[in-house]
Amino acid sequence: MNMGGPSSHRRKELTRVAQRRLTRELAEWSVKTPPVPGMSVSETDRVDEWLVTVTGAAGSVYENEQYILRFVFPADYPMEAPEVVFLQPTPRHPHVYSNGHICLNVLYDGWSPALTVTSVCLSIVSMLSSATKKGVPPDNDTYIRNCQGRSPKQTRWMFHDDHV
Amino acid sequence: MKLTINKVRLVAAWTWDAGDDACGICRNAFDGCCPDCNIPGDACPLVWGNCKHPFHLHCISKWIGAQSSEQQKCPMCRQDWKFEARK
Amino acid sequence: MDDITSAWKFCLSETYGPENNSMVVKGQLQKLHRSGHSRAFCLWIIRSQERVVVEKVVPLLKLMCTGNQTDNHVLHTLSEAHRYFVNGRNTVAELEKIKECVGCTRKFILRSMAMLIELVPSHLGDSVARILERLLSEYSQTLTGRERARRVCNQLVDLGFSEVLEDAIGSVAFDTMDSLVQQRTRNNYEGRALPGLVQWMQNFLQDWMALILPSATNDYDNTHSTDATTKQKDKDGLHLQHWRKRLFFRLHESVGNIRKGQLMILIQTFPKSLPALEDLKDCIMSTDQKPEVTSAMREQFTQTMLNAGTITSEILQRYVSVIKMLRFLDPSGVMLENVSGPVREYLRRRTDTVRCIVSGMTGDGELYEELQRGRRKRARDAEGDVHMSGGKSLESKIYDEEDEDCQSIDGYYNTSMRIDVEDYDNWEPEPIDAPRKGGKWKPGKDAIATLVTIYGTSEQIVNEYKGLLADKLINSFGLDLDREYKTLELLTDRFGKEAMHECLIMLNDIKDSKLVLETAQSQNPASPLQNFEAVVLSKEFWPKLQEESEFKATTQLETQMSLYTSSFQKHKHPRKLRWQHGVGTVAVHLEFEDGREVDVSVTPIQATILSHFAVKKKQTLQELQNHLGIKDDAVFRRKIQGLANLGVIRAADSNNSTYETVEHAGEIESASGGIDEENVPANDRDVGDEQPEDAQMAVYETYVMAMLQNLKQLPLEQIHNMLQRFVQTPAYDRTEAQLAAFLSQLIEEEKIELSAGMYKVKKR
Repeated sequence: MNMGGPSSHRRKELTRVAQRRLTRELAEWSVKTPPVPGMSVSETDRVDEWLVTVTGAAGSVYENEQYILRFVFPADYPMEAPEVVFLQPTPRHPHVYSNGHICLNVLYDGWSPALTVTSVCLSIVSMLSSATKKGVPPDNDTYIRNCQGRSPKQTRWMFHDDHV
Repeated sequence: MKLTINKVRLVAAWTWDAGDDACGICRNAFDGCCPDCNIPGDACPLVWGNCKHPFHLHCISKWIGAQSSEQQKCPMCRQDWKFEARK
Repeated sequence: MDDITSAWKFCLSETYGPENNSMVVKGQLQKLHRSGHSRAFCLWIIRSQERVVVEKVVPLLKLMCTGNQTDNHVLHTLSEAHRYFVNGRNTVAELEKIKECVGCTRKFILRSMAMLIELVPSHLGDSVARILERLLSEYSQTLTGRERARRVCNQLVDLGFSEVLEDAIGSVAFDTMDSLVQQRTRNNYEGRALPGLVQWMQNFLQDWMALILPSATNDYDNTHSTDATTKQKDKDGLHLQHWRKRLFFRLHESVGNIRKGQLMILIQTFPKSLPALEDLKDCIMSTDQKPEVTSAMREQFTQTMLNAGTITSEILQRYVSVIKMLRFLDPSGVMLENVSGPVREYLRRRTDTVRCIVSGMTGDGELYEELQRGRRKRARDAEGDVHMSGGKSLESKIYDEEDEDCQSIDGYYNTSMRIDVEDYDNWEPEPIDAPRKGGKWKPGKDAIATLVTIYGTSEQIVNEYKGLLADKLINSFGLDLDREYKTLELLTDRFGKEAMHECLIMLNDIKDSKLVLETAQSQNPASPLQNFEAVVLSKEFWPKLQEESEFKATTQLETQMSLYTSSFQKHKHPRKLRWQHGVGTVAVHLEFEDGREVDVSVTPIQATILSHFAVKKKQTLQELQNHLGIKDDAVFRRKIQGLANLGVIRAADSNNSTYETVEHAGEIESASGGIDEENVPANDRDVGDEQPEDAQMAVYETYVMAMLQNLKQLPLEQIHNMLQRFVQTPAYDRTEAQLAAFLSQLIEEEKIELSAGMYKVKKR
């Protein structure tokens, strides 16, 4: 199964700016762990890759369910958005393709350098919460066929459907 | 008792007066400097947008420079970015 | 027949003695030979000569051993014994002409020697040694001395005492050498002893030995063939060479042993003791004394220096000497590593060690020199200076070597992590005596790098420096900024740009502050900014300062602050200034009614409080607090108490709510006695002086005395600074004025004295 196919085969080394900013963000996570209840970060063996566990919000259809998000940071983070995907098993959600790709504005055109891992996670949890029932996006099969292991950042996303 | 003050050595700290928060882009203190700089103060100044959000000049310039002109928004509030002139 | 009878008669008459026997024997022999009695006769002759050995030679030699004969007597006795023996031998040798008797001489000699060895007491060697020693002292002076020594030795060899003789020669040589070594090395640290001793050994002692040493073997078998003679010569050469080696080794061992006992003196007089160390280095390289010297160094240093009575700065100073010494003795760094263990452990436990290291590096002492050397080396390289070691003094040679190793600490750690492929050809195995603590052996480091290893990383040292620098920059009037920049530059070479970055910004802040001040001063010609200095911090890069709330400062300070603020905000727009009231220094001059004049340095808040007392000499705390606009009672009370400690104000009522100026000095004592302990809030006790002044200061007496004993004499300011730096429990928080008062008390007690501004221990 395609695990979301990141452009991981050739990543550029993080710039000094990116490294420092990530160090600061990580420090925030460890000082007030977790910045948000139900979230925890684990570092991988790469400095430019984090795994964050998120928990479905109380009262939502994902309540108490845990999912893992993989963040891959570009060299000039935070000027460019991180690549964020769900690892398997992914939540069944109209904006989450079964390969883990997430259709969320702030991860692509809506990115701002003022966003952080924390705020991105919060956005994703809130996106999950807004679903009233579980289910894959209607174009799931077509998308995955066309996607062929590319990064979600290479997809031309249309964000006409903000509300599920 | 008669008092004469002979010598005075007082201590002050400078500040950009931008509040306690850190720069939204680099997360470094406003009164520190951006990650590309080593020396704070005049060499790494602070700028404000018309929306009143401050950033290190170097940080915001890098972000704004990378966007097309109609996309130039404040990273904090997404209003159109305009440098504010401070007197 | 008559002839035969008379010959036998003659023989049986047992007339034998030391003189001319052989002639008589020769005559009788011919007669007996002719008559076929020769074999029996020969046997008889041999027996009789053997008796001579037992009855004459042995007693004489025994006499020699008694030890109550004079040297001349001994020599005479030996000659006598020798003559009997040689006579007997010659007599027997006559018999060799008879076919049946061939080989009898050898038998005679072997038998006699066996008897002598058996019958003569073993302490013959002692007498021989005594004689040889005496002859050795004459040896150099006269030719006869030479001859006599040689004769004695030949006599002893003839008598079969080669081994005894050789042992005696050896012990005389060693003893003579040892006493000369003692004489030349004791109390001599500033000159080399070894080269002279080696020369003496080669030119004199070895020469003497070559002359008198017996042949390598007592082999009497082949003494006559030429082939054997050559062999014998080779053997003797080897024999002599063996002795030369023993002498060489013994000399170095002996010098090494003495130097080893002098290590503490060598440390204390370093670098004057370098010549003695050169001796020691040669000794270590020529013998197996390295482990002994290492453990001696460790023991002596531990015992002498690592105890509560030695102040940290002195331990460090000596340790730096040890580092330099050991780097010289053993460039591999193994000795240093083995000695350093306990020293590092001990220093790590002392709380003021970092502070001492840092103040050492930034002061004027040896460590600052060390810092500069790295730089000098780079400068030399830049100029393309050709390394000429020939004409240099020993000291500069050592330092040049060290300079090679002066490297940035970071670089140091990096290289040890990396396997340098290009350096493949220069690879050397690790020294076998390197301490095994896992990981790769890192070769010798210079003093600063070694001190850093007390803490493993440079972080603590760097942080301490930051704190010290911040303190200095904030509190010192008339700072030598150039010097501070230079020190920082040197430290940057060592510890890297990254680590020193904040310090650079701190210094830049001071420079910028000055520029702003100068502009402000030039724009206000009759400026109230004349005696004013300001430090504007980039606070993100400075250690955290004590926060203190706003207060209404005295007019002068208020004016100065606002002038400076407006100048700053004009030039650095849109930046703003926030005054830090918790820090800063105001030097005030106070004049009292009794004519007393006091100069004290206080905080801006305290200066303001004093200015209110100058207007009105008695005030309630409430009034004062209102004047200044300070709400926090505890903070305010602390400030007031600080001033009371200076003896310029005192509580005027029993519950400390009113204070007044101390216009007459005589009143101080009663005033301090009047403070009611009960009323001082508990959280104020850290600074509140409930007890009489001198009782508290007495804690510092031991420190002051130790300082003065170690550093001979010190000015007030330096004692003050050192107490601030070194005294942790109870933390020293007094002003210079308080210290001065305490010191004058010590002068009254005749413990110390003051002359020309310097305090010293009073000599009794």
